[in-house]
Amino acid sequence: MDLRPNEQQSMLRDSARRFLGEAYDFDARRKDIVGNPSPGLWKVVTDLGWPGAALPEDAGGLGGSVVEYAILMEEMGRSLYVGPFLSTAICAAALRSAEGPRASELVAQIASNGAKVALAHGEPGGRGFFDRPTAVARGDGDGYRISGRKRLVHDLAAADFALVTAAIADGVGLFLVTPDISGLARRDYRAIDNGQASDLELDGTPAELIVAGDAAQRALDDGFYWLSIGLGAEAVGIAEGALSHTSDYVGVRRQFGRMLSDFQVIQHRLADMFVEIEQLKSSLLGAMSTHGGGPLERMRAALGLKVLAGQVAAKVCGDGLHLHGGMGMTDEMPISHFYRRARVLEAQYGNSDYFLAAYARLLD
Amino acid sequence: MDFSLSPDERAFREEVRAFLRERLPKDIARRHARGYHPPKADLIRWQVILHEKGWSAPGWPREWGGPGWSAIQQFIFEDECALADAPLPSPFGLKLVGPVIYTFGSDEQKAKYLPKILSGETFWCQGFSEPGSGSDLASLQTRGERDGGDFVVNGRKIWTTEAHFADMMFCLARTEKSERQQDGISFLLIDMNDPGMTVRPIATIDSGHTVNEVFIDDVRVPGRDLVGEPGKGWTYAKFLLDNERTTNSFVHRSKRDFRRMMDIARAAQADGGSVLEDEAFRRRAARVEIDLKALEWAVLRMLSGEVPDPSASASALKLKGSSIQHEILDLAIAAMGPDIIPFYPDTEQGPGDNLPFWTPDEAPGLMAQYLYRRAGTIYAGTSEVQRGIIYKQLSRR
Ligand SMILES: Cc1cc2nc3c(=O)[nH]c(=O)nc-3n(C[C@H](O)[C@H](O)[C@H](O)COP(=O)(O)OP(=O)(O)OC[C@H]3O[C@@H](n4cnc5c(N)ncnc54)[C@H](O)[C@@H]3O)c2cc1C
Repeated sequence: MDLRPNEQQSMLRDSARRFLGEAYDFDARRKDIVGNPSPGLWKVVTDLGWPGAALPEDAGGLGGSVVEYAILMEEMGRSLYVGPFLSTAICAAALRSAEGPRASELVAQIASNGAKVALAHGEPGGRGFFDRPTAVARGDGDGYRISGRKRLVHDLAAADFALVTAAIADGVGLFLVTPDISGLARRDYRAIDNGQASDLELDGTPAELIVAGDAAQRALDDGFYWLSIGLGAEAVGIAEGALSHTSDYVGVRRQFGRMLSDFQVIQHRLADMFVEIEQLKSSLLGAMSTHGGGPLERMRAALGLKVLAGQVAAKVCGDGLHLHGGMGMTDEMPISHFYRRARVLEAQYGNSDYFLAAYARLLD
Repeated sequence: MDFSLSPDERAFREEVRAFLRERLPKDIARRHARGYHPPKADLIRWQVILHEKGWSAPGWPREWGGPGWSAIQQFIFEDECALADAPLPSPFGLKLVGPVIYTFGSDEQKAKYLPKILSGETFWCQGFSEPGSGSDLASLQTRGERDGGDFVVNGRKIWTTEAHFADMMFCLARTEKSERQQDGISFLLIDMNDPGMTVRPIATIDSGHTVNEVFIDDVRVPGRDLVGEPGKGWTYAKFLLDNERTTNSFVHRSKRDFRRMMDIARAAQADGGSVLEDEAFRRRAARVEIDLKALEWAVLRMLSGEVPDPSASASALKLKGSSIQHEILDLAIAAMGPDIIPFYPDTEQGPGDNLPFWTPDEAPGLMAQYLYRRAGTIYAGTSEVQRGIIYKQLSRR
């Protein structure tokens, strides 16, 4: 066993950190999110090969693993990146699991052409990822038509395609839909972390079936595994970013004639933040280790990681916010953005209560 | 000991309830229940209605136009107001500077300022904190140079809540040379309309506007707007901060928030039942309610004078109160699930961003409020400052 990143992986981390630090620093990010995430950034991200970093070489990817993916997500967390990287990665995982020529073609488009794919899975009133879709797909000639509602589709505005889940005769199906197709009412809005999401009303919307039945369920489970690793790694980056901004702040802020960092209570609070992050990082490694393992083992690890990711990110960023005093409440300070991103991450695709309950059902 | 409300107190509760039912405008209550900051117009309208009834300043003695209520009556009143979704009146005039003026102010100040606080004609803001002086308030740098009988004030204040719609500021400024930092500070009343007062909004985490930066440039404050004696401002400020601390248990608001949280959990469906039917959730909610009930008795103990050390207990109330407030809201957003994610603009305040297609009733405002209330452990003395106060009292025993 060797849990250290290899040389290429370390280089990937360094270059990702450097690139995001320059192209997507806090001020650039603020400008970026006022409108839509700039296509310019995605172009560079694609040129760097990130969307395909963990996809096979024969699909045009770089042939990396879940480790490369986690490294990128962690750095994105540190830079508070909001954009279609995560949703595309979740969809890529589901498509790889789905196999078949159409799915492979889409994976190749993601890996080599920077295609962006949004996952339209959650529905109004839904609690989380394992809810059964109530949108319904009906066969229509060669294709299908979907009717139903989809809620909180992250990054749809920037996406080239959407993967839509819907109920069909033999369980659930995964369908490909073009976001601006007719028969689709759509509302784009912003999230509290300045990310973008959409609600969709599908009314006999033409759709192409990618995979159905048990295979579709497996594809969704794979998608969930990558979702959890992605958010787990992002949460590490977020929490570390929050800790580093907070240490910097208390290292320059003076009250009572001393640096805030001279007060032991503050030192201890920072230390506690560190302890939480250590725990999260370890959980992330544990979850990555199950990558090639059995489905149950993998599912448990992914559920546990999602719970910890949300809770640790929210806790650490909340502590950081408090230690900034009034400054923490301002839009001007990065910490308030870390906190908002952490809160969204905690609730994304289901909150900690939801996934903890799912974990508890698997406990034996 | 007598644990129950007297017949008079019970009758009083009914009277308040009936009044609220009749007079609290529905639109104001609805807006307030959302969790966004109440607009000034709502605050004024409600204050005027209260004033007509003689109830606009529950804590003030009769002499100055208050209703002369007992502490328990005030408790009942605030409790009922919170449960009815009445907006919390702006505290700066009523709870903070008003008592300073009637305790330490001149007759002229009393006559000039108190009636307009009662009637809602004048709104105040609190100019204490500065960029370099937050927890360490006594280090403040704003200066008031003496010029004849007047003071010429220069400095910069920050986090000034409602400065953008306040008419007056009560302000701490250093006017005398002194050995100790705490000495030499004066308590001045400043007209916000003075051309030397510049207010700049601070954009906050909830995308709302409550706090501001205030630049004070060569503002001439007449001697008659100095409260009490020059250089004794710290004494009045401490009196004011003590009052502020004791009113920050948030107990009434938390009771209301608890009910709203239960409504959200009842309405949200998960796994074939409501979130409230989920055993794990119910137990968490039960645990918070246990604390909330204890907090209520803690406030009542305080009001009955049944605490050996009011200063330490007031800080304990603020610490517990702010954490209970967070816990209730944590439960509320847990019950809300992924629906907390969209940014729901305050549509009553004008058109904002796109709204999602499907918006659960209770969602708009909840997250904005959740984010804003993170400040509960920061303003009115941070949690660390409160702990410092408690320890100081303990060490004197
Ligand atoms: C929403 C909001 C509204 C406000 N409204 C007003 C207003 O209307 N008028 C007004 O005058 N002020 C107002 N304030 C200011 C408020 O009183 C200050 O923010 C508060 O006193 C903390 O000061 P600070 O922000 O400078 O934080 P700092 O004092 O810099 O504190 C930063 C962190 O360090 C901690 N810390 C500081 N000193 C110590 C120590 N000795 N030991 C251990 N930890 C320490 C603090 O607890 C905090 O966590 C408001 C603040 C907020 C957030």
